[in-house]
Amino acid sequence: MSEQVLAPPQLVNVQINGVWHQFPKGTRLIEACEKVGSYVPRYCYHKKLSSPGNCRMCLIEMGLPKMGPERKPELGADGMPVINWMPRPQISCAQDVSEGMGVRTDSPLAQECRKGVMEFLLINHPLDCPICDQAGECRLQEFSVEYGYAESRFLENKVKKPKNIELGPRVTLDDERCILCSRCVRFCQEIAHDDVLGFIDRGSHSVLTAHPGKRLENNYSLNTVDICPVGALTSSDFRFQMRVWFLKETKSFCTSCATGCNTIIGTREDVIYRQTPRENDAVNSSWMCDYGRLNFGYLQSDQRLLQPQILSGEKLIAADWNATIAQAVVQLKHFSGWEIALLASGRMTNEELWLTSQFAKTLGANLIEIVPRRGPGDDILLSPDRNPNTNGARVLGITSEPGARLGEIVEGVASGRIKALIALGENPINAGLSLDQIKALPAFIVMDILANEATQLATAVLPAFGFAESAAR
Amino acid sequence: MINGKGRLQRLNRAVRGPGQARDDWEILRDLIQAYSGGNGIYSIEDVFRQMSESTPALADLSLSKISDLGVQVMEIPSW
Repeated sequence: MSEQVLAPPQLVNVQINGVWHQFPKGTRLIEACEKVGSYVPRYCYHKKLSSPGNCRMCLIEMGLPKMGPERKPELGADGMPVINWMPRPQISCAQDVSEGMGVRTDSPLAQECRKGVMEFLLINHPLDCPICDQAGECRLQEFSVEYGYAESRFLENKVKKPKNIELGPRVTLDDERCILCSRCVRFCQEIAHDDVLGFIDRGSHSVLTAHPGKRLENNYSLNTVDICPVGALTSSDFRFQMRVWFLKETKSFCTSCATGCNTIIGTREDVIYRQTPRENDAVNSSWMCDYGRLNFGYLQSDQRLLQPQILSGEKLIAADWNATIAQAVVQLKHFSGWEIALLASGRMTNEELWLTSQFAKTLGANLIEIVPRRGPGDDILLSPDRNPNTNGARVLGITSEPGARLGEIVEGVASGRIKALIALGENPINAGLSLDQIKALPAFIVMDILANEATQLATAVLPAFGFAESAAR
Repeated sequence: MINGKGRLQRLNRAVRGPGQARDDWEILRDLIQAYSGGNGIYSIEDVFRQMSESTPALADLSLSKISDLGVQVMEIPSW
C-alpha cells in the first residue's frame, strides 16, 4: 500500500456554555458537547447510526457569528466572534460544528424544551417501571429524573397498543413503551442489512412493527435490544431473569468465532445472565451477533465435568487432583514420545496452548494438532472460523494449517502406533476417530469442560474451566 | 487469544468455576511438573512471561500491557 498523506484536520472554534473550544470540522454538535462534559440527552441519536432527528430530546440553544456590514464576523472584546443567538431551539444531533458557533446546552430555553419533550413522550407511556425489564438502564427513567417534570398534567386515557409481541425468536416488543426513536429500524437497515422493522399508523397511534409476513430473526437482532433506550424491545432470553442493578459486569470478549467481539458479561453469584457488546472500533464497533451473545449456557450445563476421575479396573472413579495428575503421568510414562498424540483446541488461550507445547516437549511428543471448527460466516461480524484462537495456535507453533495433522493422528491410533491420546478441550470423535478406536487406546487423557460420548472411555478425566471462569489471561 | 485480524485480547474471570474444575493452565502446569519436576511457573504471569520470551509476536508484552481493547500483534494475515 502506498503511503497516504492525510491533511491535518481543520479545527473550528465553538463556544459551548460560554467557553471556547476547538473541534475538527465535521464533528457532530452533540458529540462536541459531550466531549467537553456538557452531555446532551438523546433518544434517537446513536453515533453509529444515521441521525433522523426525530425525538427532539437534544434541543439546545444555538447561535452563529454576527456578521458586520462587510460580511465579516464582528469580534468581541475577547477577540472571538460575537454570537447571534437564534430565537428558537435547534437539535444538536443533526448539526455539525462550524466556525464561531455558539451553544447553550443548559439555558432556561433548553431546559424548558427538554421538559416539554419529556412530558409528551410520557403521555402515552404506561409508566410500568416496577415490572419493566429495562428498569435501571432506561433512558426514559434517567432523563425523567434529570430533566423531567415531577408531576403529570395528563388526565385523559392513554392509547392502548400491542404488548408482549414476539418480533422474532429472540426479541419481545411492548409497543406502549416505545417512544418511536427508530434506532432499531435504522440498525436493521444500516447495520444488519435486513430492513424488517418500521412504523405504521399515525400520531399517538403510531406503532413499531415487523413488515407483514416477516420477523426480526436476523443474527444481529439482539443489538436492537441494546440500543433501544426504553423497555420496548427486550431480550426474550434475559427478560425477567435478573434485575440489572444486581449484575456484576466483567469486561471480556466473545469466544464463539475468530472475530472476538468485545463484551461485558453480566453475572450474579457465579451465574452468567447475559453478554452484551462492548464498544471496540478495531473489532466489533458496538455490536455482536446473537449466536455469540447467547453462547454461554453450556458453562451452566448439567453436562459439566466437576470431579477429577481416574480409571480403576474397568471403571472411572472419582479421585483428588494430586492422585489424578499423578495417575495421568504414570499412564503417559509407559510410552515414548512417538507413541503419544495431543489433540489441542483453537478455543484454548495462548497461555494454555504454550503450556500444551511445553507439555508435548516434556513428553517428547511432536504429533499435535487443533481441530478446525468452521461454519457459515457473514460480511458483518461472524467469522467462518469458529475457533477464537486459531491465530494463537499458529503463532505458538501448535499448527501450521488447522486440522492438517489430524489424519496422521487418526491413522496412528487406527494402526496402533499411537498408544496415548491427550484430548484438550476437543472430542476426538470430531477429529475423525471412532468410539472403538478410542476404546482401544491404552491411555486416553481428557481435559475438558463438558462430558461427551468419548469422556466415559477416558483413563483420566481433568475437569477444566470455561472462558468466563479463568483468571485474567 | 489472537483474533482473526491479529489482535491479542484478554479474558477476565466473571464467575468461579464449578465443582472441583480447575483452570486449564494450572492443570497443564501440574502435568508438566509431575512429569519432569519443577518448571518455575507459579502464576499466569509467569506463563505469559516465559511464553513471550520464546514467541517473537508476543515479545515485550505482559498481561497487564494488554488493554481492555486488546493490542495488535500480527499484520492482517494473508492466510
